[in-house]
Amino acid sequence: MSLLIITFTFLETQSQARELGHVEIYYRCYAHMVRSRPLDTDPRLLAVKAGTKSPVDACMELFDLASMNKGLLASEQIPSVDDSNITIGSQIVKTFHDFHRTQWLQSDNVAAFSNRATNTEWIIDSTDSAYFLTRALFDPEVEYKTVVTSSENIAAIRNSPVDVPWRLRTDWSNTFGYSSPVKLDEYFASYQVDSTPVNILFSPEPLEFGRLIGFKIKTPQPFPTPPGGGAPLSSDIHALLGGGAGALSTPAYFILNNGHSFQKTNGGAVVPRRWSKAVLRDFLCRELPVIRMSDAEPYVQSDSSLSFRKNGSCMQCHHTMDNLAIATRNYAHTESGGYTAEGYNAMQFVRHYLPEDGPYSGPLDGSDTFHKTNPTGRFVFRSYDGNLINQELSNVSDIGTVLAESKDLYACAAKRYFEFFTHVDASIDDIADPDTAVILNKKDLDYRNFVISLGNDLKTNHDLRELIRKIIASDYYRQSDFGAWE
Amino acid sequence: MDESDPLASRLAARSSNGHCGIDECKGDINIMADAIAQYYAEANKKITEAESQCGTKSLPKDNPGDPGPSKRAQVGIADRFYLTNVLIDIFGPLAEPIAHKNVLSKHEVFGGPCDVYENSMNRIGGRWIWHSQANRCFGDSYSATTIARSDNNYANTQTSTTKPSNTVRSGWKIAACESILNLAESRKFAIEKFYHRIGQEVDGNNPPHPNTQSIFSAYQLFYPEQPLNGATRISLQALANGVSEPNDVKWKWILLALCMSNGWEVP
Repeated sequence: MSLLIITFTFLETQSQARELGHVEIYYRCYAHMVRSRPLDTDPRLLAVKAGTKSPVDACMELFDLASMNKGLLASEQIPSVDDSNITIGSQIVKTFHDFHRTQWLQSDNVAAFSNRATNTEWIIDSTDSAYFLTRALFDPEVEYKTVVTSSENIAAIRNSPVDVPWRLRTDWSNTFGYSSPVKLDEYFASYQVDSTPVNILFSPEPLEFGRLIGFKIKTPQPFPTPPGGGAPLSSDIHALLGGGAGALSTPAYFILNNGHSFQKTNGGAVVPRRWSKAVLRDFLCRELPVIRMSDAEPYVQSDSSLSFRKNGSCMQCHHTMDNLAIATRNYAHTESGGYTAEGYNAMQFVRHYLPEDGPYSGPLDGSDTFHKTNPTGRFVFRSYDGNLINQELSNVSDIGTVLAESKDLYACAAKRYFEFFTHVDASIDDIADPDTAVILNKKDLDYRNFVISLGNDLKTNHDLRELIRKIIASDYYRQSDFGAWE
Repeated sequence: MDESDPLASRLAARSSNGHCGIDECKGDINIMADAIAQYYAEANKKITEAESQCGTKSLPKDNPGDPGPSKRAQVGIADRFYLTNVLIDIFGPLAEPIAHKNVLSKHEVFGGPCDVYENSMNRIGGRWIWHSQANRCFGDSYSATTIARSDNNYANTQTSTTKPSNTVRSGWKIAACESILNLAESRKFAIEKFYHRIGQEVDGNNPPHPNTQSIFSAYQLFYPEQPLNGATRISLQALANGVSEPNDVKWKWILLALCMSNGWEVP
């Protein structure tokens, strides 16, 4: 009976909002960042208890255990550093990286890489887009805008207690249901020579396995050239799309969000719209439509053979996502593989078609040569403040430039980290849209305004550490319910 | 018996089935846990209903400037990593296998994604063993027959960092709490820990009778630095006073009540 009373009491207690004490705030930030409790001997905990350190300073000292220096976890570089600090720092990196790769970037999971009995996940890191976020968060020399403007792909540096992880992966093959071992370090470049399939074996550099401790520029991995010469299917399987737009342009991000796998873009029915939706969702924190009905109506094409182009409400989404998607027209998600005595082995990759036909001048609803034309496009969306952004694109890297110049990219980052720490999903939608269903009450307007102000600061200073500090120092973080019920 | 009380009526039902007398049922941790799990199912239903009113996508049209509570705030329940770490912190290393089995291995229940790129295996005694239980996405060991490529293990890489409270989650947590507290050494670890914090070194197998100070210290194992309201303190004290058992068993009941409460899962 008493147990029942107690459980009622706990529920009641929990629902009563109150301001946390200093030590409680440190416990809270420790739980959020380390996913554990501090030891009784934790020096920051003792200092907060003694009143010699503010909880915000203690939390930021904790955060700094994960800071990186020239791409490597700083605590790993100091031989004399306390082991517990290395462990805590590494755990903080893991917590945020888990958040970046699952809650923030909501790409299809790694299973998409393996759904055709391929082993792509061991060559192309399915989580590499999240590395741009994790690097920007912990490396003070990396500006936040590089998440969408970097022209170089990055790879993880990992620390594994196992000396030969690559060899182990080779042995894992049977865990995936093969009846005989398959060498995961050997792949096929498949070509047609005089109508005869020819497979050329090659061994891409393997990924690192183990605890994430830093980042490095990814080594280019050229595809084998075809027998008899000519251009390979891909000059570098790790090259960012279209000159580089950081996280949104990695081959993995393109493959996992494509929606038209193993098809060339034709400019009409077949364009990677799901990729466009992912870009809007992940880097603007917005769902379609991101323009108003009045913005879309001028682009309705009554003579189109595609039904969605004849309808204003359809074009409210399609005008944005189709114009964004066609900037990737020179790329296609494809696969290469073949059988050996040991079994079938294949990998997926992004094929690059060099533009050779100049600007597209074909039929209105696309054609079979569309993928070889100049990759122009347009980025059209309403900012959270109602301003219409409408910019031409000449390649994928321009998408990153438009995002980096917008206020929305930074408000989106602020929204994500605010949600990480408070579980409040602040709105940064275009709430001035007369057709919108989003009307916020006072509390939710407060959250929105706070997140937008954090975003504006981030656009100015590109300092994610400072953004985190402001969230932890906010009145919201001090409230047991993050201010939701006050 | 108060028939309006759900726990009392459930205990009576078990008693009428000849399983045990009401008082005996109260002493049977499994029966209590079963009844409490049902209670949690009802409580969680209420929580879920309340949370659903804080939905994020289909927001009701409110008056702008409405001073009411946020409709975009959600309850942030900690994931499997946090729960496992806290249980081990409170109950010591012997609790680790139980916490791993009932919490850490339940990606889909408690949240907390695995990362295929953190996985590595060691060959020990002729078998491939995952180096880190916390990071693994796949099955127990290297086997051609146990894991298929299309296995949902891969889905665990994208498991949310948080999962909503529900009956299944409560059930696994209660199972973990019960199993851990059935270990004398784990009880001893926790008891000695909270007594140490108030400057008393005691034998955890033979601790003093719970009093206001020690109950508060035990409470703070789960709710560090949080105030203990009078009603909860009195309830916990009554729990100890209501059984004629050795003191370590009284503490077992108190620690079980604390462990089963859900507030400590929300940092």
